[in-house]
Amino acid sequence: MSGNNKPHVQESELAFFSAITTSATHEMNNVLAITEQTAGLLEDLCIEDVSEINLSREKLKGIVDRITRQLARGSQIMQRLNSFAHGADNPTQTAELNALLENLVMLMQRFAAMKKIRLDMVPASQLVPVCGRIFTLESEIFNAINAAIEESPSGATINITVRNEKIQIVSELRERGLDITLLQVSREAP
Amino acid sequence: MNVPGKILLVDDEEEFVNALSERMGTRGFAVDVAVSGKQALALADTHDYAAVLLDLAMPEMDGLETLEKLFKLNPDLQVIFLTGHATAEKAFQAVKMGAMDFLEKPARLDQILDKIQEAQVRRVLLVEKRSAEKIKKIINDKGW
Repeated sequence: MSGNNKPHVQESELAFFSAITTSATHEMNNVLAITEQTAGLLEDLCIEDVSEINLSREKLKGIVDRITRQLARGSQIMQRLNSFAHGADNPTQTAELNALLENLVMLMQRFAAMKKIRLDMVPASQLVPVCGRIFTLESEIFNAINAAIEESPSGATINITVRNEKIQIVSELRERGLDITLLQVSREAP
Repeated sequence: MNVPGKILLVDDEEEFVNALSERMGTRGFAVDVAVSGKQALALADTHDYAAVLLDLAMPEMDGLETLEKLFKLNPDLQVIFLTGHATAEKAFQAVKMGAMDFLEKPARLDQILDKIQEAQVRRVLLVEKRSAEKIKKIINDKGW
């Protein structure tokens, strides 16, 4: 906190915020582009002479299913982006670590997918409340996962495990049988 | 509609390229689709495309790298970027590398088709220019 009680945002946190919103809005643009063209297909069929085209119930259902799938995908992206944005509501706040990580991991899947890497998350068996500067915690986790993505070869799976005593991000290089722990955030045992 | 030349659509969003190619097909365009830069290069190596509609952010080989390699195969290709990942910097870089234009997703079909037709015209003019240059060279070489 600075002298005027406003939270001090670091450059790396701004970069994190920018990376997440850019990636999510890019994905939303893809959802909108698919919906635009798929709805356009339906529109094209409406203006065709039905007697001249091979229009089956299955074809129509296939097109509607595609639109429904994209709506669900878009809705999920918006929910995740909204949850992420709430992480900066207050300088210090309480969050549930499993939910926080799951949200962040889903928002980062696209970064990993660009390198054909998969992010897997194993939640803790119970709720893990954390209190503090949530946005900073998310930013640090993002940096650690990003480092794992950078270091991992194409086709790797990065496992992110939540335990009640620590967050552990492990880049699993399966073909080499290596586990690299990139970040451990300790917290007091309950 | 009389549309010269085949079009290549490149995007890792398979549902997008499939829907767009179907709509373009009903409007008389001959379209091939690729869902990666690698696939696009393989197609461009064996086909002569009038225009390429290319995504920017794709796994493994991004749009700019694909563009560079496409131009190595055919420097006359007319490439239009269509992306949800648009920044002025990327657009400037793409145009500097030789891309014809830059469209942002979600673009309407008429916007896409306008750009593709512009690309086709440019391609025809380029082919005519190359033919004229060849003829001129033959005339000069023969001393006619």
